[in-house]
Amino acid sequence: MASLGRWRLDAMLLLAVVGVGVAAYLTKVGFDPERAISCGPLGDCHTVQNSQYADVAGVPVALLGLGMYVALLGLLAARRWGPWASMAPSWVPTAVFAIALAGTLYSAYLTYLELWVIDAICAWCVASALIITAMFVLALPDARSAGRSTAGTV
Amino acid sequence: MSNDRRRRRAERASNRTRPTSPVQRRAPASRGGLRGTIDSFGGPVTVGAIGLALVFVIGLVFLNRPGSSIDNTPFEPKERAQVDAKTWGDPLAPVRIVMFEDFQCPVCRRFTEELEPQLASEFIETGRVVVEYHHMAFLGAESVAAASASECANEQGAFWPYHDILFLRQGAENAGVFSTSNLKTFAEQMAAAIPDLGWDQAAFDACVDGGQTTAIVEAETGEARTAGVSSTPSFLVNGEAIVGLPTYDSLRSTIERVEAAASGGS
Repeated sequence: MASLGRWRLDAMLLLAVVGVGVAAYLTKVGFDPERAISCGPLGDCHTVQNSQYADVAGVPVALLGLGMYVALLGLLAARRWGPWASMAPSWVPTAVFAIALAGTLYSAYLTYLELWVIDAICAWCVASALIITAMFVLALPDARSAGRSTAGTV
Repeated sequence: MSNDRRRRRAERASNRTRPTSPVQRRAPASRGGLRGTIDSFGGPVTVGAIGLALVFVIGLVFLNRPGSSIDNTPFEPKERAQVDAKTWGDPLAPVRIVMFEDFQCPVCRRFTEELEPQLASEFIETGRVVVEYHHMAFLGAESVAAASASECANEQGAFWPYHDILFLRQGAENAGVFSTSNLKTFAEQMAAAIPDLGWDQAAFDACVDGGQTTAIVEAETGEARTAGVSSTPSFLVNGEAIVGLPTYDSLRSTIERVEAAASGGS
């Protein structure tokens, strides 16, 4: 359990770091009126970023994603190296799980919008959706055990 | 962690060996139903977290949905000189801007509202630039419907005022703003604002219902894709590509550069 937990924690930390990078890039693209930034070889992130679905109450979706990954990174880093390195309170794995679940569900909705409403796919957005889905899957076992015990693995 | 493992193994062992009392026999039954279901999902805390996450996502989806209401700002027609079908300006102007737009694209609307007035006064009305509109109807069914209706207006020489009212009325993508009935209403509003247009609403309605102009829109969109256009607005300024909404200063400098090149080359 310990080695599996550590393996999962490290994998989630790595994914959170990559997620921060992807979300930061997308946020930068969203604030780039000249569209000088490349969308990458696949898809069209400019169309997606300029659609009416790119904001939630005036806040760019990419910025929300960045906030999510930063929050996850903070929780995971505190668990790995910080005050919770030896024993994390039970809410920590639950919080990681809940954030990853919300991120996965919302990413699924955004991917649906890209495919069937906006009619343009954004490779970086898909990458973010895959990252948060992987984090959700990794967070799942610890959330289940955390609900029944005082401390979780993550 | 290894202590944890030892403790759980011991608990499992004691469960196997402990004599079964009537109370224990009732225990599995008491953990069935809702409580059992909640436990199978990781207990009340985890189920509460799942609930919170769901509420949060539903809230985001609700807030994210762009308003599907129609902007009912009164339509005020713009003065446009030297209009011919979907081109605007002196056909002999040294600079030709081919623009690829979608009536559902909010950035295209911004181009029309924010940049076009300056472009008109500085370059189009002075005979230095001619603008040519091309459909890139790629944001869904209502993009094609709106573009097809604009071709119906074009048949009556009213492409540009109809173009203007479509951008004015633009709302949520594929949310019914550019429904067939609304497209006809917008034409009525346009005609009411331009009494000398010579507008035949019945002919327009028949054209919209007939759908014969959809082929034009699909052909233009196909040509745009073949030319490498993948988003809107996109512009070709004497062949030089601008993708997305430029600032007016960068658009002006591009126009002046290609204008100098055109006059230098002639």
